[in-house]
Amino acid sequence: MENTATAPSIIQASTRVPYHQVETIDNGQRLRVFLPGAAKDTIELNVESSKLILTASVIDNTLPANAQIVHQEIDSGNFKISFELNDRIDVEKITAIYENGVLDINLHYIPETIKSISIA
Amino acid sequence: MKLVRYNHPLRYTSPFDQIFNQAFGLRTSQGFHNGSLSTPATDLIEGEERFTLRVEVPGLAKEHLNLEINQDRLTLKANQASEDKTASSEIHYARTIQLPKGIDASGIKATLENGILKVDIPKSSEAQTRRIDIA
Repeated sequence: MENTATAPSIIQASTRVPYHQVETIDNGQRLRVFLPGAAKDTIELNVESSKLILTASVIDNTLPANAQIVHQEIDSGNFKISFELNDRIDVEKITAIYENGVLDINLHYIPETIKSISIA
Repeated sequence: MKLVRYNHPLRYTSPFDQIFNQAFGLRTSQGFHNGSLSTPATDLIEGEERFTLRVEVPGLAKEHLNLEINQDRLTLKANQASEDKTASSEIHYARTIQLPKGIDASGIKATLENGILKVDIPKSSEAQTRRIDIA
């Protein structure tokens, strides 16, 4: 993460794993990933091989001039997490919605095709 | 014996990765929790003219938040009931913060963006540091 001398960062240059949940939805699963402070245009969601890789940057991480931190609890750094998808997930139908600091990633299963085999 | 293939739809890249991440500074956010009353993570920053309070409230819209000031105590409450009535998707937060002395309570403003509640708390004119030029 780039830092400048004129804009001291509250946040150290590090990466953190976001808090996340897995929920069951109709014909699939939903990943809820909590990304407080991340702007939508900084979020990148990519599928590489069988991995789903999420990165997001926290934008408001600079201190005003002559300001100091009195108390700090919010974890620092940008977000990064990856999940391994199994072959039941339809990669082409992954969708994501970002609202109020939470990214909902919907993973849908590939429909199973059951073929009857007649016995001669 | 019947063997059943375990084929979980997704899993973490590796449990080892998580241990490694913890050990080398890739930390997991722990400041907020769902499904129970909890305390949101908070930063307090002091500037020349104002304090800025930052609170992590991901998943909440402004209609779910209630911010009250009583003398020198600022209380944030958040309640979001789940539509599907599952505890895991309900969110409840509560936190009271003792404000520093010398603030202008009438000028407090709050904004919510990307799951961060930002509260600007101006200092009273008496409390602001003034630079005095030496003649």
